[in-house]
Amino acid sequence: MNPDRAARGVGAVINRTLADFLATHPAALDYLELMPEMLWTDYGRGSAPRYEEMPAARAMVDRLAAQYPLVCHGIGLSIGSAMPLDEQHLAQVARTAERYGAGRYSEHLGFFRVATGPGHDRHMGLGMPLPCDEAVLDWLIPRVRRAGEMLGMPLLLENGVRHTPYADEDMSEPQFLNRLGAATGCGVLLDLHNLYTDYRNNGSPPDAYIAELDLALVREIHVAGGAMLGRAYTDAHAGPCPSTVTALLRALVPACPRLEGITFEFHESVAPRFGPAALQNELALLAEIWSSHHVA
Amino acid sequence: MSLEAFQQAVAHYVAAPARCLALRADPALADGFALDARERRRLVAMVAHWGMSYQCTLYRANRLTPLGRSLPRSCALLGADLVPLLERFWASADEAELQFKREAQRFGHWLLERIAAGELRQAGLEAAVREELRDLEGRFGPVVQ
Repeated sequence: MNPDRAARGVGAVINRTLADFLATHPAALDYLELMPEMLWTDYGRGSAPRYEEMPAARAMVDRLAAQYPLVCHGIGLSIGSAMPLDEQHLAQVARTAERYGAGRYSEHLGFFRVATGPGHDRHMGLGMPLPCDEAVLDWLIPRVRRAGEMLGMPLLLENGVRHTPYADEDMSEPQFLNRLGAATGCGVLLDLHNLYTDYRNNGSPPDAYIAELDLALVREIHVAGGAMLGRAYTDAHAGPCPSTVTALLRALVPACPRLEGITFEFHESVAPRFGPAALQNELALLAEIWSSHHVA
Repeated sequence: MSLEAFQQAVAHYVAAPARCLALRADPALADGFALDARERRRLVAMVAHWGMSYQCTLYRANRLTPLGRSLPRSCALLGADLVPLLERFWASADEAELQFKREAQRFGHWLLERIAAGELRQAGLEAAVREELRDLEGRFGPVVQ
């Protein structure tokens, strides 16, 4: 880890194209966000051995970590899966976070894996949000507490996209997050593009979501661009942020007293048509929004 | 709450558009999962929602990505046969595996079995599959734990 800088300001999720961009634009980012699962193949719980390292990815991340502070953003914990908490995976990501001196760890508030038998599971092919019910909250609270204990650093949970909203929930998702945060000390990674995606597809207004959320819980914000797929607007991380997302960000940043960073997500497959100049412009816009409310 | 059964049901339907169409036509199929009344209503409403089509597409895209990225020449050589072959492969291996190496290995070896059985005769296909499987091995290192 670069010891001279904190993971605050504007960051981006690491992908294979980002290193090339940073070679020519080293000051474009304040920190990098690592998905630890890009460093290994995970054969799933119950497999022995379970993890197989990917040396090329590890070498790239080692190089980047020598230059930039890192935070971790997991995609493999599946904290909302109805099976025992995956402590082996938590230990694996905690080791990674420690190696890179990561200042915070975020995961998705949802489920990605389902059980296939005692001690075994499988990926379900996509991530789904949890129903915001009292019973789900009661079940989740001790899991989040345990995950926080094992990680030994701030744990943030991220709102996902709801392509098929759940009927008849006990509470809204922001109410669920508020109570989860109050009970466990976890923070929120607020993904504005996910809110925008829900707005485009189902008319759920982001303003109403944000108005219900305890903004003191928000430690990080994700922004991205999307794309149409048939009738659906998708969180495809496909380029610049829509202006609505940027406007939401501009209004939200000064209202989040514990905000540590704004992270831009773009998929490496869009890098060729996105281009370094457009990426630089996008990051400069985010830096301007951040710096208008934070002293360097 | 029967959250495990509900999640199993969701996984069952996102993996197969045909199952979604069947449930839309006959909601009683939801009785096959041990759901409480609210979860049953939710499942039926989810599958009937237009967004379920996108979720099924996302599932298939996520399963296709490891194959297209890891076995690009093999997929290209299959041409118009690729999609029906993927349908057969996914039907025979319903469990999603988004880890690139394992999924590409599963599909690559499944293709080699089809080639050995004389079902696939595209010129250069077997060599391409074998070479890409070898390349795949070279991209991954030793098991760490």
